[in-house]
Amino acid sequence: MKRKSRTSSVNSSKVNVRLAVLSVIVLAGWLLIMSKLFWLQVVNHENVQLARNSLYNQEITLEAERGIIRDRNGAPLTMNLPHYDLGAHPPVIENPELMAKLFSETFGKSSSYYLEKLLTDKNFVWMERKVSPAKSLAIIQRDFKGISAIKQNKRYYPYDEIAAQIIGFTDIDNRGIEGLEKTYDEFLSGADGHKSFKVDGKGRDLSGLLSHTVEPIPGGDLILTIDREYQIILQEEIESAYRSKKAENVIGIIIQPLTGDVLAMGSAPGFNPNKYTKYPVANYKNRTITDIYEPGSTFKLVTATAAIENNLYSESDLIFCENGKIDVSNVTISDHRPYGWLTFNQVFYNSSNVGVIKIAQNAGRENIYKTARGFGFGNKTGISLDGESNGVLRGLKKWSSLSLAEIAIGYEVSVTPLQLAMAYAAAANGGYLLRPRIISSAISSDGTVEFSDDVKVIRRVMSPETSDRLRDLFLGVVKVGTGKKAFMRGFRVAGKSGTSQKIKDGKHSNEYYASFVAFFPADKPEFLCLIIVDNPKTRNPYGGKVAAPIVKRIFTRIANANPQLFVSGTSTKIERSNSALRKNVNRESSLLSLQTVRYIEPKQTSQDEAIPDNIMPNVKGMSLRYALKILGERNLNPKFSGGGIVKRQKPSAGERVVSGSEVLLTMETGSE
Amino acid sequence: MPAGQQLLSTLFSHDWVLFFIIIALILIGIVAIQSATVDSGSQMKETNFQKQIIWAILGLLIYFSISLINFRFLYALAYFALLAGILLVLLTYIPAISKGASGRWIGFGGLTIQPSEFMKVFLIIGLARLLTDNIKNLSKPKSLILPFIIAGVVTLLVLRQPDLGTAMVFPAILFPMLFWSAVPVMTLFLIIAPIISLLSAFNLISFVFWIGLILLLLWFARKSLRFIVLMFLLNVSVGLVTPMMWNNIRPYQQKRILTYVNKQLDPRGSGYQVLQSKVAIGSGGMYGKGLGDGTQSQLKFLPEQHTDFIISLIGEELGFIGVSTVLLLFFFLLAKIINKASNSKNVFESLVLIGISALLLFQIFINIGMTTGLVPVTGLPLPFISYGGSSLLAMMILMGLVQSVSRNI
Repeated sequence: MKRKSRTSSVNSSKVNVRLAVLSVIVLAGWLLIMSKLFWLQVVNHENVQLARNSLYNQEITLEAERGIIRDRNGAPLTMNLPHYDLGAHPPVIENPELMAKLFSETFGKSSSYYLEKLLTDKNFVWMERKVSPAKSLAIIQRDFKGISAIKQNKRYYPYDEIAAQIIGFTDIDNRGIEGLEKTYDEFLSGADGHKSFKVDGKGRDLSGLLSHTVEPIPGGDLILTIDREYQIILQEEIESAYRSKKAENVIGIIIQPLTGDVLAMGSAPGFNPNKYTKYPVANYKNRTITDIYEPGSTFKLVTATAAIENNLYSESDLIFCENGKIDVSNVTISDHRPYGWLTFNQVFYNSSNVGVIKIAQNAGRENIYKTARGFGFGNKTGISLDGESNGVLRGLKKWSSLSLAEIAIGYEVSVTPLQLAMAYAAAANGGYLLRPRIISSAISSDGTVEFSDDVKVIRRVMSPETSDRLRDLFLGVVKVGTGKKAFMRGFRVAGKSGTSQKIKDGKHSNEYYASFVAFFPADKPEFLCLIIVDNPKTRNPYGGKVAAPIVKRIFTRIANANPQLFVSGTSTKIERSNSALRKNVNRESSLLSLQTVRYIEPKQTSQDEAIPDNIMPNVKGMSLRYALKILGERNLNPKFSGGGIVKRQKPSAGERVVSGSEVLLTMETGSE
Repeated sequence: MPAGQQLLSTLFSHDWVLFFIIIALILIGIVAIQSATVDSGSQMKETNFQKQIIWAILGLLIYFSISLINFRFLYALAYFALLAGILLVLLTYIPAISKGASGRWIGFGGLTIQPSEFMKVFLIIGLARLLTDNIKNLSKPKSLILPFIIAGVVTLLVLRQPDLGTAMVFPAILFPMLFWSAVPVMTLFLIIAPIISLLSAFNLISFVFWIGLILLLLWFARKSLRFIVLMFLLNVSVGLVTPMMWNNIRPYQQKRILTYVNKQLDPRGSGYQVLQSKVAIGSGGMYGKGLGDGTQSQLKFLPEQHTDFIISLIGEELGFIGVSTVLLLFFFLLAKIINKASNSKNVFESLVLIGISALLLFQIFINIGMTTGLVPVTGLPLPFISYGGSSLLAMMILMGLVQSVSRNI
């Protein structure tokens, strides 16, 4: 065949250049692809295999129901509310615009917010998390392709701030991140189950045969020693003191001196665990165990114990208080008021620093140190809570010539509120230092008791006789001394005040800790309460003035809730002690029998069933808020006017009432 | 010449090596499609496999027929072919004829074809004639206007279908053909420069580097100062305005635009596709899992596994050895065609062959590149191997043309 009407004008050398360029491009492209394939298939083969397996094995977590934290009577302090997490599989959604609009109409956010989520490369996105069943129903019921609803439980704290610093809270994924929720997270969480199955590229479940399910194991319940009623009383009182005294903090703790059970503990300002993000992190702290402070006069317990235990003074031995000033190593320590001659007991009634220092000097460094150690100062109490401090009690070798005097009156040492409370409990219960209990038992979901925290005696700190003398001493403090504001007619309250200057920038400042610790009834102590007001903005910052009235209010409310505590014809003589108690506490074995744990088997219902519903409770003497809470829980219908304290109630306590019936409350208004 | 003798000489002049390469590629494709569609749980119909065999037989008939035509005849018909191709593509815009959701297909009765696939053939022939006719004037920029308009119109028509992958093929054909027909490299460079400016502008360092490179090249090419400044301003303004406009719109709007331009980049996840594809290829290893044993492919993780992503299936089931074989076959095929192009004394023939090489090279590189994550995902079939009648028939027409040239040499 003949060719060539048109001959190439391109000369052949240029053709060769172009051919070379083209060949290089072809070769380069070919090499690039070959090396990429070599990398994928030969070099990186193993990693790709791993990635592959994760692609078609899918797993759905079956959430285990979290265990409930209950108070000592079985009342639930936490609840699990069902809710839904709504997720989407963007590749399968047929009409993202329509879906975004539907979510926008249901949940109120803009539709572009949802559209942005749906227009991603991801295989799965969360559309909304933790939404109520009512709201999600509109979407769940229509069973859209590519939308999955996962039922989960949201942790809820029905009493808001009550016991929040003990319980803590969980995060959005139901993991405990503070308090007992964190410490016992594993126990409370139980074990999530799962359903695993294989899916194909379009997300379809490949075969029922390949799937396998592990059922979840619900978490166990924690039974605390906390009493919900007393916890409410404590927190209401410290919260109101925090506000009225304009304090930085108010710390409070109520324990059972005979068992070491913590009935209530906390500090104000508190926080609501249902919306914990709205509060400063400092409010989460359980200051009763984490914070340490110089106790001041409440620490004189150590000197008194050392002196009595070593039989150095009888209660009426006279001590000269140097008219209010004593020099120790060129430092003058003075009393708040000058005293001359005082009896041993009067030294403590009046909290004379000079007198106490002289007693301590007589007892000697070793005795004071040994007694302080005996009370557990400088060591953790061993309570089952995270973050407990040791406090500071330096070894004898590190004491200066001033240390004995300072420590005698509660300086140069630091204690946690719980340590101090436990030391006073030892003085109140006949001399036993107990390990404080916060958890009485842990019960797993199948009903077996995982552990039961028994009353544990750490050591005997003093003889029963010393304990008796200390009780009389502290009764006197309330009757005639610095604790008069805690005096309650008809009750034998024993206590000790404390006032200490706060250390700021390494020096003692003009800011104070005002504290008061007391127990009652003194002869068979059931309640011991310690209140510490941090930097009260009052004219008179003394513990006896600021903290003692708070303790009194708490004891009054506790007494009102416990009619059996009203003892008719109680002796007000402070010198005499009740021999009946002595008989009990003299024998170590009998201590354990004094436990008054009122544990009631936890029930599945969320309502407190500690008291039958058809008996009218006593609300007299309670604050309106507290009374309404109790009546509300019994499903009664209160009628009242005004506010303040309940003066009269109709029907009266103990009468049979029908659920939903009216209760008339007469209020005592005005300042209390 | 008696008919029998002519047939004999035709058989002898036929490039049988080329023929066997093509047959090997088509057979590999059919086997892979069979493996992809054999699973009864699949949504793919097994008829896909049978259809492809019918297409292959039809393709071979067309291939042999085309290989017999004379190039002069082709030259005479070139402009008519170009016009017919454009009309065919325009048919996809008529709703009554348009078939399929994405508007790429047209249907006559039971037959559905994709005009853009045949447009590749017609554009190569049309451009080859246009450039051949103007071969002496191509150093003047004015003579480039018509080729660019033609290629541009075709590209836009296909882009609007929308089909980014196929649309990109047309510029990929045009530039190598211009290069081969001795259009000055500088002219081509200046035409491409604004596009690169636009892309490089999303990164400041690359943009500055690129603008500097333009200035340096212009300087050494001894262009006038006025020209350099003009080019500088053009590229800088393109580079500055586009990212500004782009960044002023919300991410999901950007996504929508990208999704509109490129259907493959849709919310259903190009990332997902590429991941699945890479996993499939990678899990094949050196020797593969054996035909029909690729779990990725068989469990339908692979999207489009019988069409655009067929190389992932081959990679998984036949391993590195299998893919290398395919690539080697393609390499020989390309080498042969380019070799013919450089040996041809006829400009028209030579340009047609270069257009075919450019098309093959581009489709092979982009297709395997996207399945291995080297380049973004755009829909382009792998020549001879991917399922699809239009694609296979268009390729067989082009191979017939190659044979017709080799017969003439």
